[in-house]
Amino acid sequence: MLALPDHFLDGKSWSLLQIGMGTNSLLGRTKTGLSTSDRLKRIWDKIFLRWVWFYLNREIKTIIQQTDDATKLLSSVDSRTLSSQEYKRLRLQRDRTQQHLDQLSQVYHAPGRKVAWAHGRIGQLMAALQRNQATLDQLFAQHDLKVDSIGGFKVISQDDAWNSRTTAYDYAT
Amino acid sequence: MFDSTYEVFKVSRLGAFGRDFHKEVLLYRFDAKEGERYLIYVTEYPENFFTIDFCRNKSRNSKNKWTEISGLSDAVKVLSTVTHLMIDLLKAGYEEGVCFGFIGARMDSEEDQETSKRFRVYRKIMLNLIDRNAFYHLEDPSIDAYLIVNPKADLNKVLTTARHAFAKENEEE
Repeated sequence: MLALPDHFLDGKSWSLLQIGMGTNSLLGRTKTGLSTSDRLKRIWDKIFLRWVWFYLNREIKTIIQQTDDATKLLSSVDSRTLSSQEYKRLRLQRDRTQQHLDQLSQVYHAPGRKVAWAHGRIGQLMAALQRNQATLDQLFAQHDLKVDSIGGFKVISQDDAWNSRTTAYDYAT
Repeated sequence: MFDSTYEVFKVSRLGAFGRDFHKEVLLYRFDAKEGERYLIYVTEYPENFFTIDFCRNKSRNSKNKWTEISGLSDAVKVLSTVTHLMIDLLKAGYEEGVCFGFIGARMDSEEDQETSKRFRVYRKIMLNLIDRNAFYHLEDPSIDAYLIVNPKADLNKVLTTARHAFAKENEEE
């Protein structure tokens, strides 16, 4: 049985990442012409933001490590040894990872001032997830006949099959 | 939805009796809603290739036996029963490279359509219940044919046999 971590930012971390990015860009816009109390507020915001990043940095580093470990494990897997439940779980995971990557990409490319190291860390997370996706794609391709048709019959690819499925069902084979 | 099935009984094993291609026909039966009896014909061809057909017992001598509609609103359980018999035979013969094929019979009113309704429904069921990772799925929509090929089988030989078998079936109709 493959024991793979759920390598995604959980709900709390994801909210913090969005708040962090949002606050970050606000701080960038309100640099000049502030009153003393606003300046104090801004210093407090900076301290708060630093704590948010401190927490997130630790979280993201752990997730990158877990993702790389999972990628290493997956690269040595032969898809013929996977049970149908494991296969289904990996297909669903690939879809979820893609969604997560799209969300991260939106945050990564959002306009506004960015803290270089935090931005860099998100980039590292995206790269780790992309490596994981590439390994999963290789795994799913292992069983393909690598031809579109043979003997007048069209070969239904893994992706065609997966997209035509109603994932509420388990395979009976 | 496709978990519930009727109990299937093996009735007999019919020899080829002078037919020049298939080896034998395994005949099964099951009793469905309102005592409606169905027959399932599993025909064995060379290369461990089997075809599966079913019809109502009372229509077994009719020329429309593959296309008629019972009108009992029991299609899901009937299809599930036939599919699960096929899956059981696929699983039992996995090591020997057992493969299956069938044609989604076309009704007269579907002559101008790209594929028959039966083919589309059966295709969906196959993709949901039979793991694409464990078997190759191939189709020829022009003749409403679908194949489940065991990766252990000799694909080219199975395809040649399937073409021959489907042509013979068409001739006999």
